[in-house]
Amino acid sequence: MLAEILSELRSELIERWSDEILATYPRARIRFAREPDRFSDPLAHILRRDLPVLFEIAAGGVFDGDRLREALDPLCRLRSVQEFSASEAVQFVFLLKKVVREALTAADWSRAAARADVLAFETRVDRIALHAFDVYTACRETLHEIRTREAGRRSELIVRRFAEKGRRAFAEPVDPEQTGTQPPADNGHGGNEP
Amino acid sequence: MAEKLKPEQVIDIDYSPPEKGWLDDAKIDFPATKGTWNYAATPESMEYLELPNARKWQPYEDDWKLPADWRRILFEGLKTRLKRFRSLKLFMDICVRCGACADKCHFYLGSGDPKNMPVLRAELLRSVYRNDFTAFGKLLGRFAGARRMDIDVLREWFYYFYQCTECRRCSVFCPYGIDTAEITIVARELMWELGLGIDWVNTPVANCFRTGNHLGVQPHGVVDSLEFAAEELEEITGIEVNLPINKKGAEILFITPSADYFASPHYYTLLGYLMLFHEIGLDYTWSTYASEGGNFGLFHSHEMMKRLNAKMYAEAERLGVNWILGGECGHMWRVIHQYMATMNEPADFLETPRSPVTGTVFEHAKQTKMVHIAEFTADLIHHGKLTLEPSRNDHWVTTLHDSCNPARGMGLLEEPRYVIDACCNQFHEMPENTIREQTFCCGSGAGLGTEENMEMRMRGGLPRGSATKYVADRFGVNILLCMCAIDKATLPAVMDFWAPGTEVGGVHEMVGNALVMSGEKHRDTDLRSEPYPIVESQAHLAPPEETKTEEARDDA
Ligand code: SF4
Ligand code: SF4
Repeated sequence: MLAEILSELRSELIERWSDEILATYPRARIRFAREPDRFSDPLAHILRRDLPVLFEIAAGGVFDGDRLREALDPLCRLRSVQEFSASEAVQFVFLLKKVVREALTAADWSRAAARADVLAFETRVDRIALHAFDVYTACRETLHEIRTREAGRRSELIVRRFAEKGRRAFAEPVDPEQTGTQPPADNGHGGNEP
Repeated sequence: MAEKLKPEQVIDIDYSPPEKGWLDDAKIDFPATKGTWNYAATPESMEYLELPNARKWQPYEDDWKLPADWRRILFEGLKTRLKRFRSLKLFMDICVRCGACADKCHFYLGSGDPKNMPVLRAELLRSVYRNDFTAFGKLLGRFAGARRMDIDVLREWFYYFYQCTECRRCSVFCPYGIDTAEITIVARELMWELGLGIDWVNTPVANCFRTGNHLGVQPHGVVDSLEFAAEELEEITGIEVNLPINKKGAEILFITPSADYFASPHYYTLLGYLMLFHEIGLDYTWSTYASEGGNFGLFHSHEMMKRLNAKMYAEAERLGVNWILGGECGHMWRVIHQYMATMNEPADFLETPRSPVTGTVFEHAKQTKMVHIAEFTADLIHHGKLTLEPSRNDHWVTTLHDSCNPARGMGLLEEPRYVIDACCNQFHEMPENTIREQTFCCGSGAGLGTEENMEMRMRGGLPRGSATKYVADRFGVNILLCMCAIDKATLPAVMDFWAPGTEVGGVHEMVGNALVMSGEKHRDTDLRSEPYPIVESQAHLAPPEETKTEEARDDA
C-alpha cells in the first residue's frame, strides 16, 4: 500500500525531493555539508524545515490551510524573486509526484488498490500546488506594491510640505515661484525608461 | 539518494567553484531578466560630467553603441589601473580559489546564481586579465582560466558588476583579504570609459555636482526643508530650535545625506539631530553647498569619489569652520575612512576635532578632521551631558542593522549600540553571523536601490530580511535601526517583503525621542507624530497641572 511505502521511505523521499528542487537551480550550487544555517544557506534551511511538513500533508495528514500556507510561503516567496517564471516557480510541488512515482516498483503499480492510492496522493499534491500558486501570486503582488510605496517614501516630505503650504495658502497667498522647492523629478531615477 | 556526510568528512568538502564550463556560458538575456538590472545613464547626465560616449542606450538593446576601438580602450584602462593600484594587481594574482568567500555574498545566497559568488564575480575580470596580462593565460587560454574580451563577456560584466553592492562582506572571510568590492569599483570604472553605466549612479553624481545634493534640490529648497523641519519640531516639543545655515565662522560644519531632508524615515533622524544640537548649544552650521553627505562617486569611479569628497572640504574651508561632523551616512564614511587620505590633500586648514561640550579630542580623526555623529553622541552620553528618557521609546522593540560602511568599513560597532542602549529599553541583537563585521548588506547599496531591479534587491535583501524576521518572531522586534541613508531608503522594501510589519528608523530618531530638552512642553507624540500610549512608566512625564488646565480651557 502506498501509505506504507510513504511512511517507510519518508526521509529518503524527502531527500530526493529536495535534490530535485536543488536541481532547478543553476549548476554548481555549492553543497553545504554542515547543518544548514538559515543565514549561510537559506535555501537548504527552508527545504529542510518545510518539505517534511508538506510531505506529511501530501501523504494524508490533516489538510490544514493555514499550516500548509505557512510551510509553502518561504519557498514560494524566495522563488518569486528568483530567476523563474510563474510555472517554474511552483513546479517544485509537482516534483514530489515524480519522486514518488520513481520510488514505486512495477509490482506496486500493478495492484489496482495501489493505483487508486497513487491517484488520491497525486490529487493531494495538486491541491498543494494550487495553494502554492496563491502564495506565489500574493508575493508578486506584494512586490508590485513595494515598488509603488517606495517611490512615495522617497519624496514623502516634499509632498507633506507642499500639502502644508497649500493649507497655509488659504490664509495667506504664496507665490509658487518664490517657494523654491523643487521635487526630485529630475533625478532621472526610473524616469528614463524609454 | 544523496550521500550523507559525517561530521569528520566536512573538512574534505570541495567548496571550490566549478572548474569548467562557466566561462563559456556568458550570454545574458537582458529582456528576459527584467527586474534584475538597472537602466542606463542618460546622455544628459553623462555630458554634464564630461564622460565619454554619452548617448541614448539601454542594456536590453542589441546594439550598445560602443566606441569602435572599445577593446583597446579596456585593455589600456586595465593596464593603467594595474600599475596605479598595487592592490588590484595583487587581487588578480593571489586568489587560490579556496571558496571561503563563495557563500558569503547576499546576492549569491538569495539568487543561487554561482556567478554571484564573490570569487566568480572577481573571475569575470580576472579571466580577461589572465588572457591579456599573464604569460600562462596568453599561452594556455581557457586551460589557464583565461578568456578574450568580447561583447558577451562585456554584457556579463555589466550584469554582474551591477549586482555587487561593494559591501565587502566577502573580504572578511578571504584568507588573503581579497576585496571583491575593489574589483567591482575598477570594473565599473573601466566600463564608464566605454560609456557604460547606470543612471541611479550617474544622475546623482551629476546632481551632486550641479546643486550639491543627489536629488538636485537647489539651495533655497534645502533651506525650505530645514525650516519646515524646525516648524514641525516646534509643534512636537514646543521649542524653536536653533537653525544656522551657511554660517561663516561656526565651529562645526554638519553634513548629512540629503535624503535626511526629503525622505521617510530618514527625516525623523534629521529631527533628532536638530534637537540634539539645539539642546547642547552647539555652535555649528548646515550648508546648502555641501548639502549631501552621500558620496555616490564611490559607486562610479575613483575620480568621481575624489571630486565629491573634495567638495565637503572646500565648503569647510570657505565657511572657516574648525572641523566637520557627519550624519548617519554610509558611503560618505567609507570614502573618508578608506580612500580620502591617499586621494585628496590632508585637510590641514581644519583642526583636530574636539567636542566643545565634553572636551574630548577625537585623536583618530586627526587626519580627516571629521567625526561621526554616533561617536559624538556616545561621547556626550558617556559624560552625562544629555538627559534621556528611554521610556519614550517603549513602543519600539529595537534591533540594529550594522550598516556595511560605518560598521565593516570603518569599525563603528560599539558606538551605535551604546547610544541605543541609553535611549531605548528594548533592544535585541540579531544572530551573530549577521551583525557587526559579518553584517549583511541591505542588498541595494552601490547605486542599486532602484525600483527597476526590485527582484534583484529582494534576493540580496534575503539574509538581512530573514535575520530581522528571526528577532521579530522571537522578541517582537518592530523596528530595525540603521545608520545609513541608503539603508533607510531601501530596507523598508526589504522588510515589507521578508519581515512584514517591521519599521525602519535611524539611531538619532531614538535619541530625539528620548532626549529631554530644557523648556520642552509635555511630549505626547514621538517624532513620527504618533501619539504615545499612556503607560504607567510615563506617569512622571505627565504634563504639569497648569498646562493641563490650559489645554482644557483651549478645548472648551
Ligand atoms: S562586496 Fe558584497 S556584494 Fe560584492 S561580491 Fe562581496 S559580498 Fe557580494
Ligand atoms: S577571493 Fe579569497 S576567499 Fe575567495 S576564493 Fe579567492 S582566495 Fe579564496
